[in-house]
Amino acid sequence: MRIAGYLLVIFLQLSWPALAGIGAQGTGEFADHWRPDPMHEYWDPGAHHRPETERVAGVFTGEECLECHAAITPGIVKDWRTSRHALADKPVLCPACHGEDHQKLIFPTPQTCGACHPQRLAQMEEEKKYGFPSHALAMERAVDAKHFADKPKAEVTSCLQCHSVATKCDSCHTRHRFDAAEARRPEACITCHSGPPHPDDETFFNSAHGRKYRLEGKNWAWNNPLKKGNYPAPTCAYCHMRDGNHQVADKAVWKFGIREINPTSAENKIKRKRWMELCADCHPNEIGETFFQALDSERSTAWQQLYNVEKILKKLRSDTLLSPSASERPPYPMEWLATVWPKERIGFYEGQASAFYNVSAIERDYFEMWYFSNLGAYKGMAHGAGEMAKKFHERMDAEARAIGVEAERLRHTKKEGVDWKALWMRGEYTEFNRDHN
Amino acid sequence: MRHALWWTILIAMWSIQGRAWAEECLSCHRQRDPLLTAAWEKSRHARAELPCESCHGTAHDGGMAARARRDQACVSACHAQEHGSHALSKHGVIAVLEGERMDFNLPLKEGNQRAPTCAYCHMHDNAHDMTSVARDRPCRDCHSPRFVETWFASGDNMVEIGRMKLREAEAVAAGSADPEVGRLLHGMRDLHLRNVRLGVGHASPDDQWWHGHPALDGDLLRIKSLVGERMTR
Ligand code: HEC
Ligand code: HEC
Ligand code: HEC
Ligand code: HEC
Ligand code: HEC
Ligand code: HEC
Ligand code: HEC
Ligand code: HEC
Repeated sequence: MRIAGYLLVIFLQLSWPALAGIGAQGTGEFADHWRPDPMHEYWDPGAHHRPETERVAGVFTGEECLECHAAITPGIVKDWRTSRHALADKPVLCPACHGEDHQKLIFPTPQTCGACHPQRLAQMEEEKKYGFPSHALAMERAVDAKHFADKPKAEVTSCLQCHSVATKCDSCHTRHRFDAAEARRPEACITCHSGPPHPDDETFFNSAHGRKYRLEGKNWAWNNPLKKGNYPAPTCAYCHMRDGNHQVADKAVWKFGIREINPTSAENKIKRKRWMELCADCHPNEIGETFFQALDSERSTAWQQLYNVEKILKKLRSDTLLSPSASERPPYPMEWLATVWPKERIGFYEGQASAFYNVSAIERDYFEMWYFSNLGAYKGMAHGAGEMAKKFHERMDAEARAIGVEAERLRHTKKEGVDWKALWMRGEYTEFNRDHN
Repeated sequence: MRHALWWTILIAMWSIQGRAWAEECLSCHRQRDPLLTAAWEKSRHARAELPCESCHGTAHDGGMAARARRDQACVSACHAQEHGSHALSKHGVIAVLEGERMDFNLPLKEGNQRAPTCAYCHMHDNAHDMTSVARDRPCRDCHSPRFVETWFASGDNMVEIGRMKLREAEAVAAGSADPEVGRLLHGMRDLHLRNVRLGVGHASPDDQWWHGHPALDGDLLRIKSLVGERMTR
């Protein structure tokens, strides 16, 4: 078993460059430090698509594409035939998105779709002015994360599956049906908006709105645009893409929730007003006001608690009680400075969002409190799932207590005689990670 | 003790009944569908004495095949855990949203349904032995062979990297009798690594990542921490 494992590792090491494509380059801030995974070309076709040239050659008409592909990929052709693209007066055939030359196939980027849907593309582009996070900037956000550049690319291709929302337009209305009705439903968002740091799915489904959707949603008329009066209760897109506007950032105040912001800044007041106007589609003004007051005060409580725990960790750091210390851990490849001046990262401003591996156990405990429990509590409040928010706060309380107890213990525990460096710098995965950015 | 006894009786009764059910169906269907029943008899489901009704229901009403083709057939009975990753994938989402529009009277092949259900991939084209290669032929109904090859080459690497984390942890933990270390290893092996595998197989990024790799990272460093602390004593 073990020998088979080692053989596989050797095979992977030998075949990696071949699989990754010779000469393929990374993108973004750390482009020089990583090579794309082969799947990357499907997630970010604008930057990484390499047309296949060996298997099929020829220049074809739309009819020819359909005929041959009905045998090659029957599902795609059936899907396309029931789409609005096929039913339009002038059908949008395969070459409109993929080109005609099979050795130079195009994989459509937002720009490709934008040629015929300029308004939608322009709306998504406009999102960029609101900064991170936003769908339009999602891909650069992912590849510019230090842990993305650092980790083996096959391990982190999952990031691209979600963050490709920026680089192709089939995330919400999926290929090859491209059905607006599908995108209006909350399920269209949950393949990405799920999991511990962003449990948007669970928090929405456990809110008054989500419960109504679960009970009755099946029977609502989903072909209607997302406009006031068309839907009895709001869904993800109703709230975040008001009137079908293809941008999700123009109201975001607390954003992802990983740092504290001032909800009453001039800019945020304008955004809040937009939220209130939206709630006013169905509720009297007071409901919105109370709702957002409760959200802001919950956030302020959560942040007080997080700052207190951050202080405990920073004190441990200044008393050199974190084991391993930063100099005993593998460095990021892009940080030559860290080799002369190593420092443990604690909290948002020091980049702890990337430092959740190769750290000491207590730092990881804080990461989980901040990144999972805190963000869960936030989304519980933001989406009106009060019970969930309460549960996440109980978890934060327990975690804060445990970290306090553990910090005391570390103060009274000997740590001499341990080769932390050997533990943290060696090992099958750790070494593989160092060689495969 | 009393409980165990009751359970044994219950399971025994259930399996006798199960066999009876299967026999009842088989008496006709051995003749009507000899290939299908022969394949079924080789399956792990047959060995587990799962009666036909578990997937097809008891009403012999012409909707028996259609029922078994839907996700609910597998989920409601036994595979709730596996279903989580499928439900968070585009396939699972579309199966829910378009459940009413898809025609489950058609056989599970050639993209007859817009998105694959459990049985579309695991029993593609009626494979009752449950060994249909879920990772190749079914996918190619709706994706280019190149897409499928690249997906699984990349996905296999992702799973292998997860195994590296587990092996590293096992090497560090070798000889440790700490029950907490044992618990963490168990979590790595049976939960988080499994999630990576399910995430790749079912195309759920959430399971590959948040329920998979970073969870493995956390367990690995906690094991190192526990083992390191033991060295001080
Ligand atoms: C050659 C022009 C063209 C291109 C390129 C194109 N579309 Fe379309 N699209 C159309 C036409 C025409 C319609 C039908 C409009 C109608 O029937 O009113 C349409 C309709 C749609 C709809 C509405 C479907 C509905 O249910 O109402 C969506 C969504 C859509 N396209 C998305 C896309 C995406 C995503 C891309 C890129 C991958 C794309 N389109 C590329 C021309 C195009
Ligand atoms: C393919 C994956 C994917 C799908 C599908 C998706 N999103 Fe997102 N969304 C993301 C990612 C990734 C980010 C974070 C982007 C970043 O890092 O800058 C994001 C960010 C957001 C934000 C935060 C914007 C901000 O400024 O704080 C909102 C709101 C949002 N999405 C709403 C939606 C809604 C509503 C839907 C469904 C109609 C949806 N998303 C579908 C991947 C997705
Ligand atoms: C399951 C889908 C999913 C996966 C997998 C995923 N992300 Fe995200 N990511 C999101 C969503 C959704 C958001 C935004 C959530 C919000 O705004 O509430 C986000 C937010 C972020 C942000 C914060 C954006 C900001 O400016 O605040 C960064 C950075 C990020 N992701 C990087 C990554 C990296 C790197 C990976 C892989 C190691 C990854 N993500 C994996 C869905 C995902
Ligand atoms: C976050 C999910 C999401 C993403 C990403 C997305 N869309 Fe949409 N799209 C929707 C929703 C929701 C609707 C329905 C809007 C409504 O009801 O008015 C829609 C509707 C459409 C329509 C049909 C409505 C119309 O008449 O314009 C087109 C065309 C379209 N989108 C094009 C695009 C293009 C082009 C892109 C990429 C730049 C894109 N979409 C990316 C969610 C999305
Ligand atoms: C009733 C309206 C409503 C619905 C429905 C809704 N949200 Fe939200 N969402 C909010 C509010 C309000 C916030 C907090 C916004 C803030 O602080 O600016 C929020 C926050 C978010 C954020 C963080 C970024 C931001 O805008 O601050 C994401 C991502 C998000 N929601 C995704 C979703 C997804 C995915 C769904 C569906 C599963 C959904 N939401 C359903 C109202 C809604
Ligand atoms: C499209 C209409 C619609 C919009 C827009 C809408 N809601 Fe609602 N909301 C409802 C409906 C309907 C219910 C009642 C659900 C039920 O329990 O049947 C509800 C219930 C609620 C409740 C629970 C009230 C209670 O008594 O439990 C709160 C709180 C709430 N909404 C807040 C908001 C906020 C905040 C916004 C804006 C971000 C908003 N809603 C936007 C339709 C809407
Ligand atoms: C409206 C634009 C559009 C049209 C028309 C279109 N496609 Fe696509 N196609 C896409 C998008 C978007 C992707 C996803 C590319 C990616 O993953 O980067 C895609 C991917 C593909 C893939 C490769 C990915 C996979 O899942 O296997 C194949 C094969 C394909 N299309 C075939 C066809 C055929 C055949 C037709 C004509 C029936 C067609 N397409 C028409 C937009 C389109
Ligand atoms: C003579 C048969 C034939 C014709 C005609 C044909 N294709 Fe293909 N196409 C194939 C085969 C076979 C593959 C699978 C190649 C592979 O996966 O290695 C393929 C793959 C593709 C892919 C996916 C490529 C990838 O890298 O995943 C796209 C997109 C595509 N074809 C689009 C088209 C378009 C657009 C046309 C018309 C201009 C067309 N095809 C005409 C046989 C054909």
